[in-house]
Amino acid sequence: MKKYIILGLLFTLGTGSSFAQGRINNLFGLSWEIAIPTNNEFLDKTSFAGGKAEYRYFLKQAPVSFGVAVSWNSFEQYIPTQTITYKDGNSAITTDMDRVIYTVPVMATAHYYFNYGKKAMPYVGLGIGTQYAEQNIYYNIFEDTQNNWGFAVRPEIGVLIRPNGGNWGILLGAAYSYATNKNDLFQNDNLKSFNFNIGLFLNN
Amino acid sequence: MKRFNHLLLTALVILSACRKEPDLSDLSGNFVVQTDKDPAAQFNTYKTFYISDTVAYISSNPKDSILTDNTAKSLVAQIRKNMEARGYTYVGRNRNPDLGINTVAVKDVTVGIVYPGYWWGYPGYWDPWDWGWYYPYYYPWATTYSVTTGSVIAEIIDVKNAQANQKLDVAWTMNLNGALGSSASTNLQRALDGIDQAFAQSPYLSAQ
Repeated sequence: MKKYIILGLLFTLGTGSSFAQGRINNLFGLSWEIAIPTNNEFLDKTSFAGGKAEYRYFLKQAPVSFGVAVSWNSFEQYIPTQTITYKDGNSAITTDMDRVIYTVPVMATAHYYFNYGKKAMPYVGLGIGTQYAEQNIYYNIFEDTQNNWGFAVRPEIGVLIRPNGGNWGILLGAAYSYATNKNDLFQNDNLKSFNFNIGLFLNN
Repeated sequence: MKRFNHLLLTALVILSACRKEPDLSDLSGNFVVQTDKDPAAQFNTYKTFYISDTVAYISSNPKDSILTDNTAKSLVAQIRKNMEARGYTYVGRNRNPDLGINTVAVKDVTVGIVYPGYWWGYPGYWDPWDWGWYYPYYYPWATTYSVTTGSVIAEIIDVKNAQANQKLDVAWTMNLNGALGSSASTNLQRALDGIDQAFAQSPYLSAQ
């Protein structure tokens, strides 16, 4: 019996310490983010002007973290002169315009890690939160603005790479972002995009 | 740990102000052309029209009321040319025209002041993501800017049915709006192009 208890303890401690090795408690990450809008009548040009800041708190007993993430993305597309008819064809307007979207999603996140404690830790995760969006059109010297908040959800996958197994690393991620921000002028009910981010993180 | 938090919070605050300024340099200076028609109007029931050589003029000078110069004549001539191309015949005012056309020109000046430390953002471009610091443009001194906006408005009025309707119904309006530059000939050309565009986007406007 004693033998089994000792073995049991060793086993637990053994597991515990290999879990502790290379363990992360807190992670702060900062990334550059690219966003590709999908299914959007308003604009479809990829944004390269975006970023993401995140914090993750890692549980002690499982390869799971909870955290928060804030992104910001600027989309812009120039639309050459065209005629848009409305009111059943009774009205028409002709102009060129610059269409701009600025989004700030703020999410609570949860992630699950494979290969926990090793130098490269792939993860899957989900973010749920809210998104602030401004959708603007600039034409001649005029500006039409729509600002609103929406509900946002973002499933994502990625990998944390720590070259030294130490307290910093490279963060890579890919996500699909869905938010319910509306655009009444263009009759869009939501904003969707594929997002890719690459950055650095510090951990302890 | 605490210092770390401070650092991160600061970085977050700074970075959340990151936002690409729109690059508006591609926008053409052409007038925005808007047209509206009375849904009940039937343009093939009219044959003749009259348009005056005089353009009503509204500007920040309260003494301005009408334009009769060559600019006015050019605007009127362009509208007349387009109407005739659609099959309508120009007749004198006393010959019972079916349609009457009003023309109005508006000129407005907007003045603004930029205070130090600010950037009025027109035009502008900012590309932040170089993993280095980046400073947005700003004026370290106060400066003023002024934009002159112009509008040319035309209304086609149903004179033919005025007595039956007991009012003068507006069958169609054209609204040209935009910034006026410093060159009068460019402004006029933009207005003439705008008039052509207004007719081009109104294919229903035809005597046939």
